[in-house]
Amino acid sequence: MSKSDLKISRWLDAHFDRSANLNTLPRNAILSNVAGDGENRLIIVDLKLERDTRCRLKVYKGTLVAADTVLPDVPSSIISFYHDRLNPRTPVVGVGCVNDLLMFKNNKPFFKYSLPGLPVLPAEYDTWKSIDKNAGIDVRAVVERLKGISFHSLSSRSQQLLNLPPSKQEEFILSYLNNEPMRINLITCMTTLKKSSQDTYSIACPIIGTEAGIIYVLDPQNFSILLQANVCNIKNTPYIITATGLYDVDYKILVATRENQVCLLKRGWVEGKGIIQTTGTIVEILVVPGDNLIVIATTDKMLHSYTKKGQKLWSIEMTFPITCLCVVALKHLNAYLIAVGLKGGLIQLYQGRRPVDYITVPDTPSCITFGQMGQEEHVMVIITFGGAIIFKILKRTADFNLSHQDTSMPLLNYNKSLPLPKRSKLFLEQSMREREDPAAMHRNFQQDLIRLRLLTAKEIAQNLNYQTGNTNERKQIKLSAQVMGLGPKFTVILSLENMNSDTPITEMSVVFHVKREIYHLSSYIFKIPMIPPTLSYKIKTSVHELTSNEIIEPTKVVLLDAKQRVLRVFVMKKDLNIPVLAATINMPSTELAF
Amino acid sequence: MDKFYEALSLFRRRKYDLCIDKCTEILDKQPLDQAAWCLKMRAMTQRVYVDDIETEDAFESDFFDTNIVATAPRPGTSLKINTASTSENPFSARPRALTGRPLTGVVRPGTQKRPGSSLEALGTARPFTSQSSRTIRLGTAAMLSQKDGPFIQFSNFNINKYAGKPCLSKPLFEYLFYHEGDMRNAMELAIQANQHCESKDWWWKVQLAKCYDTLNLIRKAEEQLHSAVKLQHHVEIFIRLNRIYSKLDQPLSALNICKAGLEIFPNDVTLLIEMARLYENLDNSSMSVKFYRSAVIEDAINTESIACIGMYHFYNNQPELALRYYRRVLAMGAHSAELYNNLGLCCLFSQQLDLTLSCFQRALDLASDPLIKAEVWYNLSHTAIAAGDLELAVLCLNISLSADTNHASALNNLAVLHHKMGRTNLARSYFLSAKTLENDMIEVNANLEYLQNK
Repeated sequence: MSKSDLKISRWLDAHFDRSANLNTLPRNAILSNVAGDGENRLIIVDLKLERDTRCRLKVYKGTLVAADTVLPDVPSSIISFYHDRLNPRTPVVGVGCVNDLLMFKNNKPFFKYSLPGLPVLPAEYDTWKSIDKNAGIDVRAVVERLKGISFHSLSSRSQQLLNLPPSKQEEFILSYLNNEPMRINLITCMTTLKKSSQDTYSIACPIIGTEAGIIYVLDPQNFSILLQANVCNIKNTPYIITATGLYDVDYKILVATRENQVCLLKRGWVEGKGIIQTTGTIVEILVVPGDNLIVIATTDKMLHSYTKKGQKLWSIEMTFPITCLCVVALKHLNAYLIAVGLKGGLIQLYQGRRPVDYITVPDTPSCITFGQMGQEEHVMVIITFGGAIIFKILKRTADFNLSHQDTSMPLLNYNKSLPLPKRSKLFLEQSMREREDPAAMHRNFQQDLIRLRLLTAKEIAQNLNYQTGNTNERKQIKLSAQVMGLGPKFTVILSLENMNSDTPITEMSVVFHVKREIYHLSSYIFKIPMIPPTLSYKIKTSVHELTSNEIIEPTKVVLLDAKQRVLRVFVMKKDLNIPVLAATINMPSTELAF
Repeated sequence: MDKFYEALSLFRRRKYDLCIDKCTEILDKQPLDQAAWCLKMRAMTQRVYVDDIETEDAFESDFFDTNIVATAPRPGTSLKINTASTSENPFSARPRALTGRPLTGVVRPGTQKRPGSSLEALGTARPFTSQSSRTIRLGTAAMLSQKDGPFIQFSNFNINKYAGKPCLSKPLFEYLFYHEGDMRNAMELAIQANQHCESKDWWWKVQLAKCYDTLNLIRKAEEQLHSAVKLQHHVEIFIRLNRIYSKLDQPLSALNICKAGLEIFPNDVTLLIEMARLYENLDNSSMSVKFYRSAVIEDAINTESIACIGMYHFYNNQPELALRYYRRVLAMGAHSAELYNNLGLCCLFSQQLDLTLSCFQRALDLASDPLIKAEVWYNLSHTAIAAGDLELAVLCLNISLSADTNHASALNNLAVLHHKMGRTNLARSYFLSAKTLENDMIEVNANLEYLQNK
């Protein structure tokens, strides 16, 4: 990719708002047709983590905020899906908040689904149950008993209790006594999976991954649990989840976990299987639809690509840390690019592992999303860490020169080992000979090699004596000839090339030497003009074969001896009595069939 | 002794020239002796007879060929696509002949160009006329030896008279077809004879098909052969049908014909080899080798099959197996530069180093054709590279190029070696000249691109 290709950007700057003051993480911005009017809106979760601020769900219509809803708690992720078949088709927006899936329809709260709580450990349960409200509370004993259990497996109330100063502990215990001890099932990530059809308007199941390492697939119509599965057989905390396929047919759910593992969950499994383990922490994971590749960005600046089965295909190292990824689906080009947001404000677009374009934004992008927005089909929305929101529209003429690069794309099975057949038994038998007497074999080969050197030297000396061969390496002149035609009239094109990179060739001439009774040439001597370094000069001469035209005597053999059908070419230098280069051109026989 | 009996005996002993002289003697005395006339015809035919199934040049792609059904055939359905191999094992892709066909283990008609023709120098796959040079008679010495002109004057010859006589018409046809190469009259005779026996003789149908085929009326030939195969199951008919479909570029139909033939003649070697060749041309080397193997089981001294299996193993990274097959060919009495060259290569790659160079030495001793010599030196350069002597490899390639100036692979390798030694300009010019010789060579193009991008 040369710089000149990029002088004119492929992107139009549609909107740039530096004062939007948004704080959005990857996967917290989606484009969805929330109003049901066919015009996609941008829905983003604006995280506000400071005290006295509330997180907000914002809906952008074009460049304006159309709706702004306060969320009860810190949201973890956002999805959008169709949950019914009623007209007009309006999708719901689901926001994962603590253990609730909050659903909004037409920008209004619509339904709330709470995940079932998790049972606490028996020891903790007993501790809480043993506290008698009426008798005095032995706070110290309770705290001691709770400290005996590992902190991670405690419910949030016990964890909170242990962190409180002793003076407030009793009050805290009292306030919770009436509630059954439960662990909250925290939602960490969500995605959607189409239920029975890949159609845009078909209904989709929300998939929820939780802190406890459990994945729930919900029925979109009555929000009951369709499937509950563990992420992996060992403790793994999901934090990015993607799904492909159809729930009723076949599907694959990929889960990136905080333990740097990618787990695969297939239809019919109740427990996922770890397929990829990365060295750095996973920043983002994508499934590229066209090639069915898994692309993973890690914190150590690497972009990795794997097959569906978890075989590594390639890795590229970026110059800056990766902050976010996004699939740029260009259906009209049948291409899927990957937008890689880098620290510093560079967004690179990759096709496979080949960069095809880049965009620069004022500061580090924190979230990129691409798709239809409003009526415009290819819009990239970039939210930066500084809180700016940027809309970029892909020009309709942009083709990213993809067609040119496809041919030179390296093979996908780059890292696959070559399918070599196994060493046969025969080979082992044959190698026995070598094992028995390696010294003699080596000696023999070396002897032969010396003999070959001698033979080669002789042959070269002979060639030098006859001045044959098409190249004079010392003078760095190369001669090549081409014979055209089927006869009896041929055209011979000689090409003299100066291979020297410094000095030109001067005062040369080319002389043809032929048997006059067989061939007649248009010209026999050519003066060669100066040939500048590394250039070549072509000479054309037409050759007329005489014998095939006139049947001389019926008793004479008509076909010529092959040895006689030659043109000799000498390249001469002025004032030199031996040729610089001599070559013979074997002339083809005239095609008698014509 | 009766002169005719003597002639007959000479004929049986394959002394055709003597037999012809005897018959001429008889005919001088009794010009209307049909037996002698017939015998003379037979003897003259036999003298020049060649098995035209095996010698016919296969058609190369012809831009103007209107018999071809599909101009843009799907992969695997045409013999003419010379794109990269689509077989299951792309890494062991065989090198291709200059015409773009997959390389085979033996040289046979259709796998290479006619030697000594200008086509060879051009390196193109120009179409041949359907009449190969064999059928074109030159004013040769043989013709002049007939003192009083040709044996039969066809200018005032009543074909109709002979068409009805089955004893005479068949030898006459063969004489016309093989000896005279007179397709027009031969076809005339075949048509009339066919009418005479009311299209009930399969032999005449096959001959008619042969005539149509030579005149490039392929569809008509196909028709005749199909009706012939209904009358009589004969391997020749299957083979000819198969050739017809190959000419029409319908290899799958040809395969079906062969399969049908194999059902009637199970394990027939000719048909098995025919199938193997078809698969080979379709780039399906594993199937091809399967059929070659079946052929070898039936006929253990079939050189073509053994050589092809050997080559399959060689390009399948099992040179030690290839070595065994080539040794078998050697043991059967073949003695040629190509064979020793292959043996040398197999020895080199299966690490029988002490035998390598002596094989190549023999190959050099036997190579009289400069082209073969060039190939042997080209392979010797590989030996030199394997031994780590790059200077020697350069010299070998130079010798190879002086023997065959159009050896594009040698030019490419020479360029790579020069590049390795730091002579980039020289390398580039060699690459460029390799490219002018063989424009589609993948290696050259990749190397040039590499040099350009550096």
